[in-house]
Amino acid sequence: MALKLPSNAPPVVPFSRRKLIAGAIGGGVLAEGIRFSSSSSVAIVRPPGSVHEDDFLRLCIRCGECFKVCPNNVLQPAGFDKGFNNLWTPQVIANWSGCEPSCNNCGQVYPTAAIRPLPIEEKRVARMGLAIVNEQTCLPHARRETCQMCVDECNAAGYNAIEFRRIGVRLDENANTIETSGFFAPVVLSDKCVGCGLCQTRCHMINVKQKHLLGRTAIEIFAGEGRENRLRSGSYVALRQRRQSERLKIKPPQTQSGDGYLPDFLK
Amino acid sequence: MRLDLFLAYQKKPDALRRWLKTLGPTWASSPVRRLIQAVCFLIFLILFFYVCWPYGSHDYARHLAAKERIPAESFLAIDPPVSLSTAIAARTWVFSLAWAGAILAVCLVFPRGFCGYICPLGSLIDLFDWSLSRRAQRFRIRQDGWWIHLKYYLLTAVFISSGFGILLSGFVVAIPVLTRGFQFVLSPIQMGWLKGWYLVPPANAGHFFSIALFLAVLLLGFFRPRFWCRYVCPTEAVFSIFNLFRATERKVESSCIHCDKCARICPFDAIKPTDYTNCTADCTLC
Repeated sequence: MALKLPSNAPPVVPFSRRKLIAGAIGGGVLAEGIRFSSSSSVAIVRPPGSVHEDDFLRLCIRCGECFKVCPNNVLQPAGFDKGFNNLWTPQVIANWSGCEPSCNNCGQVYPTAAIRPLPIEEKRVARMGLAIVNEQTCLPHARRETCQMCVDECNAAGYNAIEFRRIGVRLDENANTIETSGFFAPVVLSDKCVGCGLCQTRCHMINVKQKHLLGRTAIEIFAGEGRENRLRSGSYVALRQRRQSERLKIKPPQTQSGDGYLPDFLK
Repeated sequence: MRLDLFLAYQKKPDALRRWLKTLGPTWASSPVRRLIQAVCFLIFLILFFYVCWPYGSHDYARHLAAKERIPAESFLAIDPPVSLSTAIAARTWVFSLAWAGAILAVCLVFPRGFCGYICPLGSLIDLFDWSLSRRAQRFRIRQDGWWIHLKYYLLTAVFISSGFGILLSGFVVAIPVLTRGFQFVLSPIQMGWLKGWYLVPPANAGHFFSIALFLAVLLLGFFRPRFWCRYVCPTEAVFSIFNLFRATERKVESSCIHCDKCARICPFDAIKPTDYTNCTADCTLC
């Protein structure tokens, strides 16, 4: 016969239906509250290959892996300033660093594919945003001094998306341009720019932080409608080819005769 | 059919048993479990600190691909509430659902084996409890409070909010909490030490909030060992529910002398005090 000793083992607590319903209602209320409270007025620049923002917020589990594998620490967690729903989601901080052209790490470590795992050729044409030059502050545009760091950086990365345009050219008394006058100012080619942010990094680090010539970077990456591509599926390379061929179709056809530019009475 | 996983009781322990006893009582009773826990924790550390360390070559894409023998996100992928909540929120198939399905299939044979054997957060909590919270008894609370079913309430809240399209699983589910905690606390140290402190990006309030959550998970161990694992973690709420379909369980033989030791020692409060059978939802076959 077994000896019944006094038991120190735990008594059984019943499952509370009330608390379960409270949990369910609490989850719903919290969700709706978060949805209403967080609407970022400025579109956040997301990693390359991200899916559309609505899906992104529903697939990103805020785990932090993408921050770990990002070699330049471009991707940093958004804080409370972007709203509760964006907390700990990755955003591109181009003032800190630019997105490395030979890297596609962030997409490779995503368990839920909020950032699609893109091969490197696809990633290089996946637009994250668009670089926009502030023509009031940019040093050559404001005719303050020559500066071509953003152009150099973009060419070094292989994108070649910023060109020079001569501005502030002076004319001599015969209305001929003085060759040594004016500045070479940067112009962003929107069909080539992928929004990597290397240009912004350079401008911020040198002109703002080191030389104190500017209070804020003169070239900045902006996301939003028309400035980025977020494909749920399909090829970014094919998308770029499609966009380029459409642009060629819109261009007016070349006239056959060489004097098409002349007015009629001179032809 | 008996599943003999554990070392049987010996009145006179042999040399192997004596050596295992020097490591600790749990090593002596179920060395296989402690070994698997150690291996899984080591794999997690290697994936986080070595595979995900992006430096070493300027061809970053190829460098990472070469190091990834298993995917770097493996532990995240096998965490069922992660893939379930994102699939519900985004109304789409996510590939980690297949991984979650695989681990749930394994847990048919080893009910909640994930919690006892694989989960690196569980192993970390075990380490923390063994080194720190075991030594402070003043914060201990009783076992029969309202909190013991908290994991089900949290899981319900996570799934309902996912249904509304807002993902809250990253706040409370085990592996995201662990990964984020490591990322915000240990990653800056790795970066600063190996590359330079100027390379560590600045922290914002969100960082500190996440660190506070992570510390809270560990400090819960002062209330009871493995408090998080027993009562709060939604991951093992999923496994507990899945235990309904288990194929194995712990059974009590007629030779039981009712000494009560098993009910008192059980780290998951899974043994009923009346007849020493399992609370089936809680047992992790440790």
